[in-house]
Amino acid sequence: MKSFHQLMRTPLRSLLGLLLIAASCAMLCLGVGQYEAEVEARDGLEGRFTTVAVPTNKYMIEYVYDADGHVIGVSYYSSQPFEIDAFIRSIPESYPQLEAKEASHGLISASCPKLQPINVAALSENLRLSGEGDTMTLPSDQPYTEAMLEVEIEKIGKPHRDEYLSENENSGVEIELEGKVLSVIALESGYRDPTGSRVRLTARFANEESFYALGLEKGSRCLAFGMDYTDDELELRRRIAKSEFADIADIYDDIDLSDIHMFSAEERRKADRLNPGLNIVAEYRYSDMYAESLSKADLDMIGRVSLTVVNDPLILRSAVDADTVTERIDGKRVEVTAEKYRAKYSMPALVKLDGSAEEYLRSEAGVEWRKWQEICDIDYHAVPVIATPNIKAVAQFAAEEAEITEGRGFEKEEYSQGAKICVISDTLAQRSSLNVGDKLKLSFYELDESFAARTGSTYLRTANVAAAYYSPLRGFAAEEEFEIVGLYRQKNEWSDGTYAISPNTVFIPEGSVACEEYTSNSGIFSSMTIKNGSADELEGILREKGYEGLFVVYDQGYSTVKAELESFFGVSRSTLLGCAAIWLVLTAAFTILFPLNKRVDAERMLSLGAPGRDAVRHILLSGLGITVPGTVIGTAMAFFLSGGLIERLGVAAGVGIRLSVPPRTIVLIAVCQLAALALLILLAAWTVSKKARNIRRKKR
Amino acid sequence: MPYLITRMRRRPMRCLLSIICAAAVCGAIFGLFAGERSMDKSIDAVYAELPVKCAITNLRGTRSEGLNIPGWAVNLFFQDERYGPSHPETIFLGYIKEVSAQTSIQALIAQKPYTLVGLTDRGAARELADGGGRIIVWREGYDESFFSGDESGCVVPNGLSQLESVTVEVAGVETVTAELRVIGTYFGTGDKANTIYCTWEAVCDIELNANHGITASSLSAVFSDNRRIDEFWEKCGSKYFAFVDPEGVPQEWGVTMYRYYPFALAIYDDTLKSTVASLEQSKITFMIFGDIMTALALVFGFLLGELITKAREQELALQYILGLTKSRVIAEVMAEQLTLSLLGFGLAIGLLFAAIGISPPWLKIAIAAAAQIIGFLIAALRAVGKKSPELTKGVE
Amino acid sequence: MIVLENVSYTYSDKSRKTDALRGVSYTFEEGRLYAIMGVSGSGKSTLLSLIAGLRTPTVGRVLIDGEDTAEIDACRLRRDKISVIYQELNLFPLLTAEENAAYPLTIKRTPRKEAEKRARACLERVELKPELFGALPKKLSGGEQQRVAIARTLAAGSKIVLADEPTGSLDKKNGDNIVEILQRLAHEEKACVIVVTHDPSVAQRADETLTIVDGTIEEKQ
Repeated sequence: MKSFHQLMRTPLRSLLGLLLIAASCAMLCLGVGQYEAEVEARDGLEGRFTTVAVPTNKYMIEYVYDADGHVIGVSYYSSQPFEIDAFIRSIPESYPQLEAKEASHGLISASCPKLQPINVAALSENLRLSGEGDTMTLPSDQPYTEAMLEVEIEKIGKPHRDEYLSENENSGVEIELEGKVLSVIALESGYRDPTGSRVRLTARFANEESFYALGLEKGSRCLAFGMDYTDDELELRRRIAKSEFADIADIYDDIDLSDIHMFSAEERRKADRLNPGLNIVAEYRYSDMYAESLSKADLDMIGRVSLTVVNDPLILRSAVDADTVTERIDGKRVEVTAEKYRAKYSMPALVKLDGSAEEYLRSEAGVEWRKWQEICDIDYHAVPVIATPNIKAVAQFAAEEAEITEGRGFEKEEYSQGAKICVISDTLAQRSSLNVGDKLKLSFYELDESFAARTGSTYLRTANVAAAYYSPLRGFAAEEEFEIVGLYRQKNEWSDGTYAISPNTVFIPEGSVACEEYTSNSGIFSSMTIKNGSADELEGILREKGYEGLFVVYDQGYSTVKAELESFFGVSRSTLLGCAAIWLVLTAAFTILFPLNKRVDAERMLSLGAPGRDAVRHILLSGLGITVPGTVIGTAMAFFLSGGLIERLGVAAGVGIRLSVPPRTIVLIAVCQLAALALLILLAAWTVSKKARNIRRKKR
Repeated sequence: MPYLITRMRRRPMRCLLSIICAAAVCGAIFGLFAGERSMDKSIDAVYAELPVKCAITNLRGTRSEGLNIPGWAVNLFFQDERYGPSHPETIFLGYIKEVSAQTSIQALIAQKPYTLVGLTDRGAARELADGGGRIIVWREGYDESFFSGDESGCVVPNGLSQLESVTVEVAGVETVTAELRVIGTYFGTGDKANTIYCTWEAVCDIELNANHGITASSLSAVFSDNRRIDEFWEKCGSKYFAFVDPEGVPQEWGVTMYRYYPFALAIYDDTLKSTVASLEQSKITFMIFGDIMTALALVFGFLLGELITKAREQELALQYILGLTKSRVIAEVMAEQLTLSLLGFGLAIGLLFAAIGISPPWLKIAIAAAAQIIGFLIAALRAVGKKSPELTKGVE
Repeated sequence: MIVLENVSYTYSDKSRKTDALRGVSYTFEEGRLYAIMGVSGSGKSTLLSLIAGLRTPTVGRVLIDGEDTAEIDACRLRRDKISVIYQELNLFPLLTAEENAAYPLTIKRTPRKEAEKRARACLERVELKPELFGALPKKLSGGEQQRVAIARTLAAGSKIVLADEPTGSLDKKNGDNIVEILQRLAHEEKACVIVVTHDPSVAQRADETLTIVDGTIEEKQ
């Protein structure tokens, strides 16, 4: 019996069989496909929300009560009480339903010539931070305010000392110098070029003798190096701009400081009456209604920059006269002689120039200055780097104060692999002319806690961390190339809230560099992710334990839409069942029409004396002859429907549909279908072979 | 039609097959429709419940605090004539709720400078919000609801906590003095401790008297209807604020006082948009699958028809031989199938309505039922519409 | 009552044409039992189909009571005047003997109860055991099924009965019984009964025997 020939002789019937198989295969693929699509959508939705619990440090304070039980003050612990810390550590294990994971973020510093960090002190923007008076708090000016200038001295003040020190403290003498900037040797590029500007140098020397030994006098030229450069005129302009925000597009072009009205004697008296002690002598009128009052000190700021120079590191320890000092080296306290200390930690301060500055720097005498010029360059391109196990768990991202607006964040495996990738702010990217895909060679360095002058406040903050000052004694710890994969933006770039980060901050996956990191159990360094939708449960647990308010939980609104998201997840299951039911019906229909029908043929063959195996082969070949091509057609239909057709329909509907059922899934379904049908065919064949055996037995 | 029900009763499995086929098609369509409705419901809920904030920011959108927002901008959110000119046609209030604002003014208390900060709610000051680093210890009878009122009390730093009240002096265009009762003390790590927190109304009153105008440091609100965000921007928002431009290029405004738009209005709807987009995508998936299923109902009807007419070949031939016209033979077959299909569809609708509880998509189901019947009819016509010799071949 | 006027019928498919009947002319009278004999493929069953209106002659006419079957509604013809009995598969498998016999009456809109009453009477006439009236065909023997088919014919009141090998699947005794019933049908009910058969014993009991050879009537006895 030529089985395939038989199939060709009943083309319509065979086509019907093909259609049945193709339809059932396509139905199963569509059913599973939509389920997979829903699962993918669900994962995407879940992934869009990350619930992060950030410690509030509420329990790091203790109230102080008076006799009547009223709170009269607080005292602060330097860290969480032990039992609170232990409780936090135990949450992942004790409450597995929360799926809690601790995220500890570490801070390192890195420098890269391609990076142009934003020096907030140099920003010509109207910034008012925390509303505290008129002075700016500058959280991220470190380490960009180092400067090395060539100055012509015009005036030397009288030395004076700090009167408020105790007897055994000595922080040297302070001398005010005024001069003019002749040239800039090293200055962060965000500042305006101060060449030609007036400069106020505050010289802090161990004693008068050491200052006078420099031989400086009016008309002398000198090199000055300090770590607190300030553009005074910019400060004044920024203060004026604060009031005149409305029309300021450019803080230099739109504020004309040559147009200042100097008060007459009468006006000065009136101003004194209104604002006693402020010494108002002029005003800058920027509209009919508004004017900014200016004191003598304010007027002095016009066209001026300031710098403090320190010639002896012991000045900063108020231990100028000491013979020995205590150093902290690797956490240990070590006594060293004052001479040794000076030799190790001295930095340039002031030096008189006989020739040009360039000549001096090229000379042997200038080698130290040259070295510090290079160190300045490292610091001007330095940024704080946060190594994180989960960027979504960083408080700013969790609270939606920062978000990735270009490119992407880090994938799960990239954290564990320590991939050499990074996310930077778009402000930093703009300023440095960088884009997603660019590569940065980051030279990492660690804080030198023993170099007091260069410790700064970086590692004492829990927010707005800055890069440390580069220490020549420690050098670079690692140098690696990182690729920029994403850019983030913040709603408040220069905020000084508890978890704030500056736009200079670079994020890298944890483990991508082997360096000593600084971390802490509070602020931006510590957070915990929990399962979406379990914020209420966590708060319930905290209430139960009496630790209410221990965390603030950010979930980007997930808890408000949780119920709706969960109901959506159940529907696709029902649809899958429906499609499976139809698949069953179609498969049953095929089984009735074909394998069972062929069994009749086979039994006829047996009754005519054909060998059993011929009859079985007939059933198998007839069945597979339809099943295999039908499955192939059905698989092709499923590919087309779940891919091209839906995409086209989606585009026509105005919505881009990506129903990406993985090809391997479709192939797997097709293979399962084929296996199920083959089983049915085999069952039919088996009954025939059983009959054949019975016939043979009867014949014997 | 003679013996229609009798024959159906005596052929339970075949009838069950038809019923199940119809029920499965209907069930699938209903299920997919339920999926669509579920998406709609989820989308509605997301629109209704996911809070979307807007805030006044600098042009780059990178600062929403520490601004110097003038009274006319404040009044867009408050509609209080004291703050600035009113805007009868383009008032924001129809679109927003939960306005959160902060204002500050420099004041002297016993000749020492302090910053007087007025808040509409505790969250308007970042440092007072949860996790912000400052905590308030309230005096008896007071809690954070104090900020939403207009009482002239204040929360002071620890250094002033022993006082019952403070007298503030604000020197502006006029010098104003006000007495504020101390109703709480704030503590916090690393605070500068020269801020006094009051209600928004209280500080605004002082500002208005001292400076004849107010400014706000920050101003934000939540949209009351997320579906009207685009309408809000088109009708109101874009008239007073620039859109956020990452480049920060000033945009010409050219009204009386301003050459450029001084501020942008940032609308933080990314989470809303991405969540809704994901749900919309799922909804369209269900819709498309539902339509495919409806089209496939025709194919299923045809396949079922082929199956059943094949099985009843002899019976149909006999009916024809006994004198029934072909159209009557088809009519009998169709009557049977129609009954079974309706039963199947009815069963599916009943079960799923009880399970899911949503109204069935009558039109889609009707189309699917019609498609299935038409498919069956095509098969029946094929089977019975043959020429007589072929039709009766099975019996002859 | 049945007149064949130069009737020819040709089968044609893609590959070839076959003349099943060639110029057959004959008249069949009522009240007589006719037997048609011939080898397989001689055209006997074709002749029966032409008379039943299931086929239309390629050439010639088939007149039933003066009406050309090609021009009238053949279905009405089969409802009102003609009954056909085949060798097998005569009955609806899902209707009982009684219901099968009553079927022709029900399609003529006779109320079911009355139709079944008449069917029972007809079943008694063909001597089917009463306990088998409510049995499905699969429970009946071949002979019993043929009796039911004949009872259906009686119930329909058909004046023309065409039987194609009605005894082909039966044993001699049952076959004789069926022929006897057909004889009674012809002689007592005055029906025109035409039986196609290979069985000479059936032909012997017919009033007239026709032999068809190569599509034409060769012999009449």
